[in-house]
Amino acid sequence: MPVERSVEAAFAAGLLDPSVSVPVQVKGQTPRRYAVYRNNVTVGLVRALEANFPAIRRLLGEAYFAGLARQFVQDYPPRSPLLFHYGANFPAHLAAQDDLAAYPYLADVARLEQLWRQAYHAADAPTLAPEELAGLDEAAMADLRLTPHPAFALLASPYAVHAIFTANRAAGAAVADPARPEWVMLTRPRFDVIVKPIPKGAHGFFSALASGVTLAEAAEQGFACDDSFDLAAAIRLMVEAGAFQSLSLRATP
Amino acid sequence: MRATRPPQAVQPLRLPIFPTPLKSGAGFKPEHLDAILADSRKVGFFEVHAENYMGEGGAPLAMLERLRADYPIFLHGVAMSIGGEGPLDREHLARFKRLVRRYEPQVVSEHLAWSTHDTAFYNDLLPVPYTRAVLKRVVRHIDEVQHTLGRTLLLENPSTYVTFNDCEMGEIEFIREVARRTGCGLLLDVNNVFVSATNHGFSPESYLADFPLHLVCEIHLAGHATEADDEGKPLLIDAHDRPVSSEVWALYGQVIATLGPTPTLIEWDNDVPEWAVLKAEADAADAILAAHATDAHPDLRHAG
Repeated sequence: MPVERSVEAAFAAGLLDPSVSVPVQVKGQTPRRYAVYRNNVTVGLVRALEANFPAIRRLLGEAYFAGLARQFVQDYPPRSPLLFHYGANFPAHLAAQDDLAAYPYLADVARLEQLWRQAYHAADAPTLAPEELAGLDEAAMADLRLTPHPAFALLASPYAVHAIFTANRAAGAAVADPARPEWVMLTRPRFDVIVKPIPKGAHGFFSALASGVTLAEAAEQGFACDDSFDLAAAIRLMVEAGAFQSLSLRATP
Repeated sequence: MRATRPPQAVQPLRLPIFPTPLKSGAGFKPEHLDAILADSRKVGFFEVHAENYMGEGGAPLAMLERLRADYPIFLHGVAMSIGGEGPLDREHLARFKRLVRRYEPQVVSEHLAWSTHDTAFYNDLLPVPYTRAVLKRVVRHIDEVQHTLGRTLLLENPSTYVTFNDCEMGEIEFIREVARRTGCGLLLDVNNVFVSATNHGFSPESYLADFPLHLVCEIHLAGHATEADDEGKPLLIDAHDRPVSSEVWALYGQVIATLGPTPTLIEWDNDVPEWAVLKAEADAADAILAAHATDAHPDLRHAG
């Protein structure tokens, strides 16, 4: 079907590229009419990015964000009709902008927004109940392995990514000291995503646990990250936040 | 949202079965859920865009489950790219099927349009040329959708801003032939008829007189914006961002007078107002439906 192929391909070619002229197959060669589709496509995809990265939009301002988003949409149109996944490489795109070099935290804030959306849409699953740990003796505790909840995620950043995220997902004030490291955990025990700053040691501990090692091995990782790692507090935190869904007591995975 | 969130279902619940709602319904917006559940006067149904409920879990699916307990749900796809030259996205179709199984929608519908070319998803309902070759692939795609879902699909007439040079038939002939070959039903968007008629200079009344109304199982109504075309003449945009225009209400009244009561959706997707405003539009459609309550069309009994 060479004729039909060319109609659709020609129509698609100009949708995101303003330098392409109106497809010859369009009756009357009417640029303003074809422009309705161009505008619908660009505005729709820019809106999808705005919805997915509201903190970045607030940080950059509406006009700057729109310009950047238009360029991104043109370079990387979505490959899936599930637009809540759109923009997986938007954080990297932000990091590559020379004009934004003075704001090196933007990419990690965007990564946190991306993780927030993944957590929001993640599968439903129960979370580990405190009682499941309460009855275990010390040896059983040391050997147990935990399965992360589908919504669980971690982020480590050299910037105050949680503070900046929180301030800009609402109408918060600017964060005075962005250049301090933060470690963040995302969980979603029911429907609300919880984004929580956690100590460095807890980040190392949860990260190891999520990779499937035993609790004892993960604890070592926690201490290796941070001398002041508080194991009991970290266990309490992971249970309260719903980071894991189940435990297994087998000696090896 | 907090007050109205449902408990997570511990086992699959049998969903309520509703008769075909010969009433108006509304496009569901999550921000309206509390107001909807607090409203003592129920609309006939809610319609959702399938793609918004294709995540793995979380609040969107829980909200839809809550709504489904009280209302018939109409599932409206906006991204199947039925008119596209490429094959259907099987993963997308499988996700669509999971939704049909989980929510048992009363009606399943899609558009006569394409939205994906090659690997790019354009998130818009793009126009197809009405040729025999395109007809063949639209028929093939609808056959595949209906076979996979195990459901009759309703196909929606498009609103368009351009036409193509090489058309071999008119829009109605094309749609009629698709329906004849696939056995699909039709979703008549009256605003789309008015938008296309204005943009291409034909009479919406003649279009509706030719349209195979006996296959229509659902109607869409929405507001449109007015811009100017290349010659400065009005170019209507299917914007879904305002009340239904008086011209479209008048056409709708004529359609219902012929067709009898038919499930009618008010679409409002941009600049979404508070629930009461959307509900008032649905009430206006109900008033017209009620005036023709005795003219029930026999084919409507098969809707859904």
